Amino acid sequence: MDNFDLNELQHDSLIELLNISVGTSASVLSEMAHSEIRLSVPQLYQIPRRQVIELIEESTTGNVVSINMETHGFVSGESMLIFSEESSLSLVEVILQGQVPLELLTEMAEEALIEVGNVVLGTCLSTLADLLDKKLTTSVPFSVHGSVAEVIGSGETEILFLRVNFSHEYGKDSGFITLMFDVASVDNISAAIDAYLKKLNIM
Amino acid sequence: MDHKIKTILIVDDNRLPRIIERAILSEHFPELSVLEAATGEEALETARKQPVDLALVDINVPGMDGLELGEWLRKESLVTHICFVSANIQNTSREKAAQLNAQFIAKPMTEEKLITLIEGIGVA
Repeated sequence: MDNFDLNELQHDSLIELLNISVGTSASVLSEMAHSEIRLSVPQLYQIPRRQVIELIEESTTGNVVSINMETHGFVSGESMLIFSEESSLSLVEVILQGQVPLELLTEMAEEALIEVGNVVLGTCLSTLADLLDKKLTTSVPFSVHGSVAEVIGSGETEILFLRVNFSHEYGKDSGFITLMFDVASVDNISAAIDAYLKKLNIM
Repeated sequence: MDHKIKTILIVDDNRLPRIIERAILSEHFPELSVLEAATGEEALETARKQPVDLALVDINVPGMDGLELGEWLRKESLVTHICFVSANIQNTSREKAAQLNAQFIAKPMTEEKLITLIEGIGVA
């Protein structure tokens, strides 16, 4: 599973930069949800796409909702904010409370979730790009509902997969921030990290 | 710039930020007239029809994106003040905003951020 094209220092640096990026987006989510967001340690894998399904299914069963943004620039791939259907509703309820008229709550749930994805993923990717002094563009966010396999897709193509679990202070609600980059992006990531370390006089 | 605000145009494809921004404006600045647009094209059309003093523009919208909209608004001198409101907080986005003589607010919009912006410009 740890068949990385990155060396140990690059791997650890990327984990740290992702940690900062996800931390920034968690602070934004915390602002939206008016509650503390707890994060797991980022996990980074270079694995076939089908194995991503197994990793996510370890933590959630049943149907999920994913907010997706396609990502292009120095890295290409997909960024996803994934929730179980139940926890997505609970998060939206917390976010919308007091913000929209009661009669619009149900109607607004999907758009609210897409906006959460937009803000969380956009902030995370922007922070990563800025830290590495690179540029990224993202698609307009869209939602996908279905099983984990339907949301992630299958295949043997290897990808660079990052996962961070998050939960909010009111209990069991949780989700995942996942970034899935094409392996072709690894060379660019590797060069960008080397440049970053050089700037810090570490290399 | 001493051109104060009478009319604000909120541009965002998602209704949630539009609802939140309108609610803050209604509560704290009820004298302002608030318009909404869900796309860049719709925003441009609206600004061509009536004077807009401040446009709050999301960058990541379908079709014409917020930065392109900003360029058109400046080119046709349709809006006095532009503030981009975006989760795309990359330096490049902030730089483009500055090139368009626009302000930049990182999403999510809050009461504090919006009040500071409006009070900084001033209400007519």
